[in-house]
Amino acid sequence: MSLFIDAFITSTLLAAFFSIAALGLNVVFGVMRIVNLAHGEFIVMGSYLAIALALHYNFNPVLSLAVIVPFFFVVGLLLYFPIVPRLQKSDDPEMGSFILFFGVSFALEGIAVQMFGVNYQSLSYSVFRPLHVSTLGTTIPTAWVVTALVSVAAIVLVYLYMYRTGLGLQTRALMINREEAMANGVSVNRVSAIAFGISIALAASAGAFSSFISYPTTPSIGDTFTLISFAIIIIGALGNPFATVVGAIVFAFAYGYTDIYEPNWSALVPFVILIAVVLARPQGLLGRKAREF
Amino acid sequence: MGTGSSPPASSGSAGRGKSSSRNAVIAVIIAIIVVAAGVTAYVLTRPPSTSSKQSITIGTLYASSGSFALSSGFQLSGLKYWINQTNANGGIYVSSLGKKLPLTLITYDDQSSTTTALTEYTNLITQNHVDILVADFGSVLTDPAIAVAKEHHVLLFDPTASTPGYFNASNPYLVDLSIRVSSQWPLVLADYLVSQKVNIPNVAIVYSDNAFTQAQAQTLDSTLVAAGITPVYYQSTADTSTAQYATLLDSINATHPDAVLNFGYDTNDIAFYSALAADNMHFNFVFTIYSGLEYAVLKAQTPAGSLNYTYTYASPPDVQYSNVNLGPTTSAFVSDWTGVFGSAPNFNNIAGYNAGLLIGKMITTAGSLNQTSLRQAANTLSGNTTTLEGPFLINTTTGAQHGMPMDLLQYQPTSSGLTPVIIYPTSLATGTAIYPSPSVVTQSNVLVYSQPAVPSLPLSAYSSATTALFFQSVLLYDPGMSTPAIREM
Repeated sequence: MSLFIDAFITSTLLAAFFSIAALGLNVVFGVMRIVNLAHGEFIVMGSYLAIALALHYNFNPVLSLAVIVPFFFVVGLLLYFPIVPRLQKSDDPEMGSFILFFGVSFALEGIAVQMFGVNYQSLSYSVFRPLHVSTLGTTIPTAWVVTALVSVAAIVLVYLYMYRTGLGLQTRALMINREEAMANGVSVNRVSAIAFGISIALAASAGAFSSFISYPTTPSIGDTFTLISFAIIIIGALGNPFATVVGAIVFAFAYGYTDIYEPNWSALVPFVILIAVVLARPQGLLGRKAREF
Repeated sequence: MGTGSSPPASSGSAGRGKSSSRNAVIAVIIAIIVVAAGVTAYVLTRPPSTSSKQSITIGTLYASSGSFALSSGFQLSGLKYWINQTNANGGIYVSSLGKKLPLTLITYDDQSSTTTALTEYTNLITQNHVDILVADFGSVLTDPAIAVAKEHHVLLFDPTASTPGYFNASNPYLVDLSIRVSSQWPLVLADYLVSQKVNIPNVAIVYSDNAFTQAQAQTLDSTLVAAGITPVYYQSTADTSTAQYATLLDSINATHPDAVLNFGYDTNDIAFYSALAADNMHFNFVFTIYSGLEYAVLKAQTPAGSLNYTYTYASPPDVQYSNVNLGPTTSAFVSDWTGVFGSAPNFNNIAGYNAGLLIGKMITTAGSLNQTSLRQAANTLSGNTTTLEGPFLINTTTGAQHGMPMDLLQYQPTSSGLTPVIIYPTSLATGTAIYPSPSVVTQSNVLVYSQPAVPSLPLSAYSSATTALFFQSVLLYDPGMSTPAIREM
């Protein structure tokens, strides 16, 4: 029973982290119908910035978000304008974006190698006190709890943006029907650029905590994050940002419980679930919701 | 009008003549193109003439990115260091050419990708016609080279791939230079655990799902079971993240082991130690591979105090060989390297350098760059050569390495930091194990131990008598043999 609870708690915290890691990817796909294959590299870049801020200015990762979020939001805007409008004018924006961001991911990995080397880097748990908290007979590091809380906060903020602001309303309108939204005066470029900036900022924010709960930071780990993020948004529902949370829960629990009973299958089972979902519900577990914005 | 509408007979004849001469021109052009293409292909692909040879080309791959970037870089820098040293001394004398030749290094980046590696190994052989082919780091990136080298009858010099299945009598084009086959790594460890059966009755083994670590786990498991110790947990894992290892450790902890042995690569070990700290768990005996092979990396990337009182394989530079007959002693090399790079070398640096040393000696011994002669030279050197990495002893049929033993050490905290103390085999021990390991609690940046740290223990060097004894008493263990051998020292 204790093992079951241990796995439940770890999987819950991991699901929260996966949610913030994958959320931005789904926002971009939902609004712009483009596939950002460099998503994981932005997580890595966020992680490197958080580590640098911790090393040089003693910032803990929560504080570093004050720098990371605006910085990567601007990076997103700067990346959006020369790339995305051109892609959307093409016959097949999805395939075009697939190829283009594939190149961007390699470029970012190369930049990371040049700037930070190939060594593993990670933040110390000791940036948060106390080091551990105990609940339900299980001890977990405070850093994981903080990671989960920040993830939940980020999801709530994105929800408030989408459902409580005028820009959010326009964003949802674009997700539902681009042509109708344009006919009703939605500024596609403005709304999409902000969504793209939010997506990159979310990815980088996830990166600020990634070395605590997932992998030590290296330039090459971005591919893994991209793969996991894709699996999660497909399980949840492509184009529905909040289905990402459901996808993350399924993915994290598949990892967590396989680790208890068949650890050598833990890298396989979540992707078997992905295949099963694609076959049984190609639109994702919450696919119908995507059309109810 | 009629004449205008029908061409004259002579005109038709002239047309056919023009047509046939045009065809002849086209045929000549095609022939020229074919010949030119053939000549070009020949010039591009022919082996360089040995008589005009100006240097010995060494071809290898490295990974600038990906999972193996770190270890690959360490190995390559060791090899480069040897090449620079050799060139500073004028190169290597090749008796069949009657002159000393400098070394030229050709490298390609495989980015830790086996498919890229396959292409680049092929390029090194077929395009660059390298004289010496050296594999990239580890089993995964060496694997693609084995078949290519064999197919082209090129000897593959393998610095750090140790998967037992690679070495067999049907492939004479592979020789293991700097690392013993992985199935033999845990023999000393197993022997120690058997000797501590009363104190350490419950053993948990977890291993990463790949050939290198699986071979070690299997040898350890079978040896322990044969000695009456059935591991309470024996499981492979595909885990690489901290959260995954945390769950795995919960499962292991539920079996109440005295010893937890994690066989993985550096990423696995980092996640393992991070998860130990995350779960706030403590075991009396913790063993990992890479805390010894890449101590500085593990120390830097794991929570403070993680490596205290843990166990790992003892290998150079922690084990130092003073009685060598090829190249510098371990301590001299460490000193030279530290002087150049500002930090001490790790095992993979030494493995790269050691590979170079042995390659150089093989060329000198063979007297030529003929691949079969080089393989013969490896057999000649086997059993009577000791380098900074220990005795070079290969199975002369398969090319598998049986020298370069992996002993057992424990990292013990002292006033000057963590000290690697060799605890087994007893004949080589520089101290005794502190067991059960005191629990370490990280508070702020201060480590608090449940018992006082032990005083620093000096490292001693392997003696010549010990090395000689090793050669006499080692019982070769091959995958095909029925009984694993225990090294008696």
